[in-house]
Amino acid sequence: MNDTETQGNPLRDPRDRRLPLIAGPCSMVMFGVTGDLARKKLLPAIYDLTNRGLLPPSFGLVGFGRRDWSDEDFAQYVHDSVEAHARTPFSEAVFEQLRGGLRFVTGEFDDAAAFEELTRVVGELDRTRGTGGNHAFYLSIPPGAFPQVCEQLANSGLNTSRDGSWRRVVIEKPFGHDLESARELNDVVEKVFRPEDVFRIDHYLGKETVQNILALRFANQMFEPIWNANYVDHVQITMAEDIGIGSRAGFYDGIGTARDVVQNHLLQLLALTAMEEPVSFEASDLRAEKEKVLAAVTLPEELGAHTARGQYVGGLQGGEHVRGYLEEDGIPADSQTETFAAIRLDIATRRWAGVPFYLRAGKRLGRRVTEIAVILKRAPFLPFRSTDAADLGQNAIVIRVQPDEGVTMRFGSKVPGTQMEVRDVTMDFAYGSSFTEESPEAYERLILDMLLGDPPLFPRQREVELSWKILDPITAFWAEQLPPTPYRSGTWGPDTAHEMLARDGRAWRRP
Amino acid sequence: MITTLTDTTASAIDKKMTQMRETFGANTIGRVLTLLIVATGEDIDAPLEAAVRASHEHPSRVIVVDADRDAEVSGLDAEIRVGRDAGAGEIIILRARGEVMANLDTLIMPLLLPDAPIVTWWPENAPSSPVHDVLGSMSQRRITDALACGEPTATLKRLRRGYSSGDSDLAWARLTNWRGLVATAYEVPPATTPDRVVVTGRAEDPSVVLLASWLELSLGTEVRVEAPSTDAPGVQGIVLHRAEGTVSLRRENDDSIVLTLPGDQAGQHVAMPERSLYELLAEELRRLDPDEVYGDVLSHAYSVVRNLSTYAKDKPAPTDAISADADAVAADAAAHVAARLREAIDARGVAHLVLTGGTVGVKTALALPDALAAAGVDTGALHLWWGDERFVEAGHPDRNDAAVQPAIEALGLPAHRVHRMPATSDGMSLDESAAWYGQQLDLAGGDAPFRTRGQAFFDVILLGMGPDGHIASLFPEHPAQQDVSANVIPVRESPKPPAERISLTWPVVNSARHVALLVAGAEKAAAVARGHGEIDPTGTPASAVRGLESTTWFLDEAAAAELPPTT
Repeated sequence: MNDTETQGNPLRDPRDRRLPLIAGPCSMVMFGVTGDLARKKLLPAIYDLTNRGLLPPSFGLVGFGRRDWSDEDFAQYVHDSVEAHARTPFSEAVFEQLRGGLRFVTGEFDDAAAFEELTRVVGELDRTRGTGGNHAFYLSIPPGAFPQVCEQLANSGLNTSRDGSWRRVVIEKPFGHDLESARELNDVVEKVFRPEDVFRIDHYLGKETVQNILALRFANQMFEPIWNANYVDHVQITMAEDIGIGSRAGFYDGIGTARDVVQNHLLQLLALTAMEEPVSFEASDLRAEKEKVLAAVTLPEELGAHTARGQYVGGLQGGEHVRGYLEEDGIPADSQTETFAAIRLDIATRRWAGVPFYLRAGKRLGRRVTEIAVILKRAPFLPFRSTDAADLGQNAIVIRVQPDEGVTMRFGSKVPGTQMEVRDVTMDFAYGSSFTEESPEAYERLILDMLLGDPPLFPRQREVELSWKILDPITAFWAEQLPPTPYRSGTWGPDTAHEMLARDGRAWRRP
Repeated sequence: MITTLTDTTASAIDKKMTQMRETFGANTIGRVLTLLIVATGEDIDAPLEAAVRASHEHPSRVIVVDADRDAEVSGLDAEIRVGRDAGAGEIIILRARGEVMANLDTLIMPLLLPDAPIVTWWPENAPSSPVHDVLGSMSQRRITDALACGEPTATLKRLRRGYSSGDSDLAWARLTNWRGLVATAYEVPPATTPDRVVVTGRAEDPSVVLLASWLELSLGTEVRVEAPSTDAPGVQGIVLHRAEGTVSLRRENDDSIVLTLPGDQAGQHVAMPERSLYELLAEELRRLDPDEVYGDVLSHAYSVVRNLSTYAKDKPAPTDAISADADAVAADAAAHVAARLREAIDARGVAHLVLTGGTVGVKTALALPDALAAAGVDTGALHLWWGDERFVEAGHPDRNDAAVQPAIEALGLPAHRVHRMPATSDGMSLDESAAWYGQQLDLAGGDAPFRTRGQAFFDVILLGMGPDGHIASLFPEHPAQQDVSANVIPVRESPKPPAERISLTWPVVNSARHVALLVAGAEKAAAVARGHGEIDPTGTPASAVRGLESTTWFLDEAAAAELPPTT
């Protein structure tokens, strides 16, 4: 599962579960180091890993960018970013450990000389810092720049490892914007790196709660027996943000919610919710089950009736004036990009036949929440007078992914008093009220797993392609026949979304 | 918020908590475990702060047992903290005074979370054997901190003796970062087994002991411990000597260590500040299954005491005091005991006497009130204990304490200074009874000698001897007498009825300043002779008990008949 050198180490007893898995000697070369993601998430995550003692002392971090920075300038930039955004307390002593391995290489992506310099710097780290020829390339850059960077890496030989060392490349979503582009992108990357050395980061999969879906389903006896079409009426997967597109206009317009989050996050959540039990939690076994369920997804015949698309308009949201999508900076006034997407998917397996999975995601919705709600069928017979159970809804098991991570169950209970009256109540498990602040950031987990070469949490190309296969017909239909419907900021999306469920005799849950 | 209850009971506290939950809805989120913190007199702020911080990762109900054993008046106060004052958990602080401490398990029973695992943590005074402790025996995990105890390495040895699956020690958790780093450093090619390993640190630091043991056990290479040049605590360095070069880790200051790999002169600096109590506790709570590696490492660190004669060795040789008959023996012994107790009280202000049963034992006890009065012993400073007891109902004629009841009454001792072993009528099983008595002994300080040979808790221990040579309920060739993992053990299938008994163990009977063996009658002459021979705990238990300062055989002439003539 991990690097070969960790096996056969007499100091690593499999029973010794205290012993932290510390990444071996290595360096990380980061492209796009001045970007928002690097500044707010990646650099702080690297610091936090160092602080937790999980990065090797020999760790090196090379920034590659246009700025004319010295190593010291870069160190100062990392220092500021870490101080402002790290999760764990800032300590100069910890930072000193990192500082010795910080390097900066100035250059454009098409500048061969800069890549020669990069090769030199990486080699210097191998010698002076003992990074052992192990290097990860983190492409925190627009996909458009991938071909250039990959080509340069290949030309300078940085992509090939020698005698037992490794080279890995990390790419962030979006993995293309449709099946074709995803394949092109992959071709570009896999021409230069071996498929098993490509790590696609979907930070959602690094979240504790997402991993807890597996624990909830497969470590318990009480859920799996009802986790099928006999008992489940339908499943709602929601990923709502209360903010607008912010400064992502350049990326967002023309992409839209479906490609931005449904293709990756929501379909991954669907796969984890719906998949069969894997033979083991090894990456390949887990992937096999996810791929199977994604391959079994079917689209509604009438896409117009079973999908919805929206775009937020300006107004008052939660006591604050907000701009509509079309008024955001850098968005054309006639943009047809959706900021809300809802789709119904079915899964053609014995377990899920007839159970619709409703996926919705959007910006400027009622509140920030991501959750999976498994809504059960009504009890087949109620030995009560109809008025007694008038307030009784359907039982539900809700996995709250963020914020306030945990699990909620909803069921009926008798209202205290003389009358027999049944009403819905909820039972709540929170991952500790402050668990989120103590639990590692998803990026920490994923960066460490990548450096350790531990792949279960990273989607592979086939999953990416299967997801696009699901989404492509929908986005194609939308582009031709379904312009986004406006919706007020701070609501749960356009009326079309509500009508879409009403047609099935159901209603969206208010998360 | 904090609510205080004075002069309360456990069920009143439970009721109050339910009421608070209904009123404020403050503590309704899922708790994963109950954490018991056993504090006997020390400062509870630091452990409590650690528990509050750890509750963010492990939402728990924290019950602090803060005992004041010396209080004359018995009683219980409680403090309930929820919400802001309790992190993500809820805290109950029980301030128990005097006798309330006697049944700690029933004190906390109504306050335990249903079904949830129990973890018991002794921030300072580790019990002599965690699993034999009344609270420890109901816990999945038992956390001690040898470093915070009076004699760290002695405590660790004792924990080794009393180890049971589910124990762990913070001295082990303090090593996690070091271990992680050295495991990673080991993987630097060529990753071969080192020829020689050196750990730098003070040999009396429990973490140093455990680290050396772990390396030796995992690598199969001998590990040498070298004293550091400074008197800094904790592990200061690890060096792996390999043919291809050395890998060295050295602490350079409080915050960081330097890692030097072969061919790398400068060394790399790794931040590794000392871990806070909170981090240690949070790590301990992360897994509730037994830490088997710790068990292996602890076992490897100290060889188990297989030779039970160890406890008696190297102490002054016994002497004989021979009188005409049993009555004279008792009078002589009583005078001797009175004198020793007087010395103890003059020196330490308190005296601990262990009583026994049997003909001469009872006679001696009955002679004590007069003897103590004659010697001017302040009975207000006297504690009575028993070396063994028959596990039958209270007041039964078979019981050792029943036979000496007139003496106890004559001495006028209050109940809390008469430490009787439990009876069947006390409602505890035999095992629970032994555990309970062991805990009483621990709480009184009786575990101190159990930690280190050469320390005394009891001033005088009176022991009878059977014709088979047994003392207390340690019978020849009986399997129970081999158990030295606790200070008090249950004994089943005793060769002499009644079959069920409770007895002190070898380390404890050997932790008195003065031992007085009381024997009369010709039928015991042979055993007396054997008892004077080689130390042989298994064959002749009486030969294997020695006082730190003196061991005296009080014999009548018949019992002394087979002794070789003295020169």
